[in-house]
This record gives sequence, C-alpha cells and structure tokens, in this order.
Amino acid sequence: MRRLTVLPSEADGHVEAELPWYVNGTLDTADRAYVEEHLAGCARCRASYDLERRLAGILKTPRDTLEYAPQSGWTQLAARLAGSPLAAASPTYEGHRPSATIRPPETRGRRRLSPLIAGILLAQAAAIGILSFLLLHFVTEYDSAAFRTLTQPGSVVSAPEAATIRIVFAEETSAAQIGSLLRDVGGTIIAGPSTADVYTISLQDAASSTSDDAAYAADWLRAQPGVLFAEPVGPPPAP
Amino acid sequence: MSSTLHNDQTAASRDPPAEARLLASVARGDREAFQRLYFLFHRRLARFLLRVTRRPEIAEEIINDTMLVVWQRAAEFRGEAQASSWILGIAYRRALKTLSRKSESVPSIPAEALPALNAMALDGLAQRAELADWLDAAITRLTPEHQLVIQLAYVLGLSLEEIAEIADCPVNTVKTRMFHARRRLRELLVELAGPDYIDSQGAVT
Repeated sequence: MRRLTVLPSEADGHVEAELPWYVNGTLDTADRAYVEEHLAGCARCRASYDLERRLAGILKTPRDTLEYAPQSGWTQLAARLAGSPLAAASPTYEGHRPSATIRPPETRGRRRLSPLIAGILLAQAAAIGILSFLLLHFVTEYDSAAFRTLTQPGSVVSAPEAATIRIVFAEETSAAQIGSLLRDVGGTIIAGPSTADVYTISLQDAASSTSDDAAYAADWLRAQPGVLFAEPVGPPPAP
Repeated sequence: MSSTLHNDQTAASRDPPAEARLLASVARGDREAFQRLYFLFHRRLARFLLRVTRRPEIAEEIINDTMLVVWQRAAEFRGEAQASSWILGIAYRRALKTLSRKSESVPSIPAEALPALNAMALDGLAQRAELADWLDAAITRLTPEHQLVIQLAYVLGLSLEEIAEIADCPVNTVKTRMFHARRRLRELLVELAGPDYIDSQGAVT
C-alpha cells in the first residue's frame, strides 16, 4: 500500500518502522519501492538498514545441529504417543475434543517406557521392516512398476526432478541405519542399487518438494556417517 | 538500492496448501501424515526455538510439546490462518512461557541519557566484529515478547501479518513491539560497545 499521504518529516519514522520487513523481504511491491526510494536519499536510514541487515544475518545463522536431526526428536515423541491412550485412537472425531492438557490425567502415574528403551524397540521394529522389504524386493522375482533396478527395462521412474537424490551408502551401513536416514529426510528408494551401488531416492510429498529441499536433504545426508555420496539430481537415466 | 536479503530456504520451501492438507490428515488420525508434518516443521521450529531458548534440549522439548498439541488438536484448526501460523503460534506461546519464567528485569536507559544514533554511529555498530557477541548478550535482555518478535521476523523471515497471526494480536501491536524491541536492542548494543562509543562516533542527529 503506497503511503501517498506521508509528510516528508514523517518519512524517516515510517521507513524505520518498515525496515525489519524490508530486510526480511516480506514487504509488498509498493511498500518496498517506497522504502527503496527513501533509502536512496537518506544516509541515516541507509545506515539503519545496514545495521538491521547485519543483525538479521547474524540471527539467521544456524546455531546448532539440532536443526538437522529430527529423527531423535521424532523417536521420543513417538514413544510418548505410544504411552498415551490417545495414541491408538484418532485424535479427534467430529464433536469430540481431546483434553486440553498435553498428558491426559489417566496416564499420570502409569509406568512408561524410558525413551532409550522405546527408541531401541522402535529401531528393532524398523530393522525388521527394512529387512522384510529388502527380502521381498531383492531376493524374490517381484517386479513392481514402482520399483525397478536401473539395469531393468523400463526402469525410468517418474519423479519430479526437484525431489530426487542419488546416494551411495558405505558398505558397513546396515539396513536399519539406511532406514533411519531415509526417515530423517523423508525419502523413499525409487531405484537402485545400480552396479555402482547407487540408489535413487525421492523425497516424500515429491509434488511439492523444491530443489532447495533436495539440496538441503543432500547436504544433510553427506554429513552423516554411512553415506559416501549424495547429490540432488533428476530422474535416473533410462538403461 | 540493492535488493533485500532473500528469505532463507525455509520460507522458500513452504507450501501452505500442502501443509494444510497434511494437517487435515492428522485431524483424521493419520500417523504417517503426522510424522511427515513433524519432519516438515522440525527445522523451522528448531531454528526459532534454539535462538529463543539457547539450549538444544529445551528447544527439542518445546518442539515435541508443540507437535503433541498439534496431534491432539488438529481438528480445531479451521483454516482461518495458515497451518504454519497455527503451529508456530502453539510454539510461540510455549516459548513465551519458557522465557517469562527466566526473564530478568533490566531497566532501560532513560531516553534522554542515550541520544538517537546518527548515521555514523549506526554504521560504526554494523562494522564492529564483536557485533555477533553483543547481539547474543543483548537479545536475552529483551522482554519475552520483544525477543520473540525479533526471532520470528529475522530468524524465520515471517511477514508482519504472519507474526500477528502467530502472536494472536493486531498488526499494529506487532509493529509497536518491533519498534520498541529494535530501539531497546540498539541501546543494549551501544551499552555493550562501551561508554565512549557515542563520543567516538559523533553527536546526535
């Protein structure tokens, strides 16, 4: 919204108030143009803008690797859900409202699995699931249109280019570890392994994933033990 | 004038319709959708809460408390705001409680004792190598509401309207809080820069 009625003497104050949203890029086109026009002619406001930009840059810098480790948090939350009577039922039906308290009264005092034990049990269940998947799809003659090796005819799998990553795991990486890594990035194996042990993974909700999501996921995967190679690429090439 | 800072990847990757669909699935008890929503929001929540709490274990606890409320109350989301605003609003209130428990009352410098910084003084602050350390110290001395509006605007790159939705207050209240937060932050930065800073940088505008 253009501030056509702002007096020159009030301009500094108005622009100063808009600077945080000019700095973070969320002003609309008209307001952004107004601020830029003022900044071009006001040294004090330009200096103020430079300071805000520097402060914003410092604040945006990641502080901790927690940002890149959702799996441990999810494991703990899943364990909490498993210990709650609300876990088995749908959280809500029409007309039914859950308790406002995070921990329903009936769970208080009940013995709960420690997060460590719950995490171990979940990891074991995941390992069993992964091994079953691998046996079904690699050992048998199962032929699915949704999962083919790169050397099989028709192995081009359609996936949005922005949402695929090529990945090579270290030889000692277990099936459970692979499963854990895939869950962390929300990925699913859609092709591989090739003769060079290259897998192709697609990010969940691929239709809405962007190249930024794939790049971020690849960056994170590369930093993990057990991953030798990870690059965001397009669909696997036809044989 | 050169273009502004771009929003970080978090904002660029957001897809409000997809987030709303996931939330609707969660309301129907879809655990897989809930897990996807958790992974989708974890980075955003972690980035915001780490800055606010400064302790990974507390940030993680608030993330999980927030997402547990999302699981329990997903059906209460009626779509009046974005799904992200609703979820961040839950985290915001939780963070506010955490900050309020540990906030210390630090008296402001009287306005007349601290002249408005002129362009040279502002530019001088921006160039100081110690600015990151001063900022770390200064942020914690802001009130909880001031800390949170700064973090939501600069760490998460949210618009004025989005912050108003999350904080459940009018847009003008957010503007006012931000105005006072930035003013107080600059006072604290100058204080940390030392008593001779203003003298060395020049007079009042």
